[in-house]
Amino acid sequence: MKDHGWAYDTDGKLATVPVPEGCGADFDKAAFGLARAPRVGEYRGFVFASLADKGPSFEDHIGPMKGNIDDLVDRAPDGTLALDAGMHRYVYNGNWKLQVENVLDSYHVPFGHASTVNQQGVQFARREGDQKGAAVIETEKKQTAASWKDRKSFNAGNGHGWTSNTTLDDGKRSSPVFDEYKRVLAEKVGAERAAEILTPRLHNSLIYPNMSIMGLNIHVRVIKPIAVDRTEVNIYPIRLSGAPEDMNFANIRLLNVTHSAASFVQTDDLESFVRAQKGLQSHLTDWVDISRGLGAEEPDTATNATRGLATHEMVVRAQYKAWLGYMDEAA
Amino acid sequence: MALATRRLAVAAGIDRGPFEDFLIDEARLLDERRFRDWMALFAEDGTYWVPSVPDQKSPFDQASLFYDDHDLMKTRIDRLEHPRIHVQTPPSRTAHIVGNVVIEHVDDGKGEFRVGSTFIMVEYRDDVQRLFAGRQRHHLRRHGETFRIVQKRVDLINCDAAFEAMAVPI
Repeated sequence: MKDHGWAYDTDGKLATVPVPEGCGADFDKAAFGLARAPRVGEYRGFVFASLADKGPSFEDHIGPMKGNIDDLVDRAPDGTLALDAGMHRYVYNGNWKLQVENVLDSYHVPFGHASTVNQQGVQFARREGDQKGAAVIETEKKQTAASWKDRKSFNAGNGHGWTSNTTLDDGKRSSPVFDEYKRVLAEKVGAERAAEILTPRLHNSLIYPNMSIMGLNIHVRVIKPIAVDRTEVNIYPIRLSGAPEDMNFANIRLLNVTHSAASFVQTDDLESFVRAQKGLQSHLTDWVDISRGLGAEEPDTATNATRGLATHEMVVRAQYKAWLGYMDEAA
Repeated sequence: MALATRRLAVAAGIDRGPFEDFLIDEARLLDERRFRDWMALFAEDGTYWVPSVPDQKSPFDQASLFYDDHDLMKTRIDRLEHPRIHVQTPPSRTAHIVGNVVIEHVDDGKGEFRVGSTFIMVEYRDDVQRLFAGRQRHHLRRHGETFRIVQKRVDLINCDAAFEAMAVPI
């Protein structure tokens, strides 16, 4: 009743009603608070909400992905993340699942992002300390298309998954700022634990259905379906509390280049999503082939997940299987 | 404020014409997709900044739509010329209008100037026409008979909106 001036507390309770004498004698403010999400869960500061009354419990749903959230949060020497560096907002005329597929798919990279690789086969650098400070230009051949072939992807069930494996500290990575970060982290958590933290399992993680964590140019992404053919995506740069501010600034700057609406990377993905949507709406074919690597999956006992090559489509199949399951459940 | 500074500039004998011509030439290079010539207008230490929130204080602690130094500008332009840049297949066509030019600040000692203006850019690509508008501020340094850009800051009126892909500089 916003046009009548009803006012609510930040916890959603109805606080005041103008001209209360017009209300019935049995009017009870407690019955008129704002609607609540039926189910809410929280893990390490990330709050998840479900608008469905029933379904898998939060613990069952998020369980397989807790380690991925730990992987990110533990990198902060003070143990907390700050999502206070604004956000990138982009939209595209395509279904939300196109973006969801994309975050774990490595098959698209050599073609989709060809324009980020120069004639010498070198892609621009991605991290503070890779070369010279916060520069986002690479001079040494390493992050090339060929390396994507070796990457693995993991299916953790419930539609969740991740891709391996970008070591934060490959031994060669060094700069005054990155060295300072390593020192501060080791001081807080011990050298052994710091080494573990700097050897994460992950590149991208997908917390199905609509959140991803990218471990390299670190950010959290939230995917918002607006219509069947329209999606908004919000990218939140992450500051690691306790890390050198110059390192956090370099990450923020890198995200301008990789994931702003005017970036070098995301823009080619957006174009792909729009073209895919046009194709899907043609109705000339009923099927999209996502069978790459079918039968090549293998168990990964260390992570209790299923493993395949990241250029295969195991994770895409897993996402659609989960989606179908949730849709059946809702029907 | 603007009127006062303009009077100041006139009193100091500074003609707005060369500044206005420079901005018009710059916009034309973008519209003609002469990106390398456009980049050559920037000083070696020059930056191109499009903030993502109104009145953004710093490009370092907040996300920006663009914040390019010389190296990044070059990488961006290499990509714009790459045969497999999908988001420019087909390429954008743009038309800029620059007006309301005001000399906001003069530093005679350093030969540096801050020039504010208003712009509209219309972009057409792949059957869709889009409109961008806002204020821009050029920090210019005297360079022989012309200027070099120390910083071009573009404040879009909708800078905090959700955008479809933007491939070309504004």
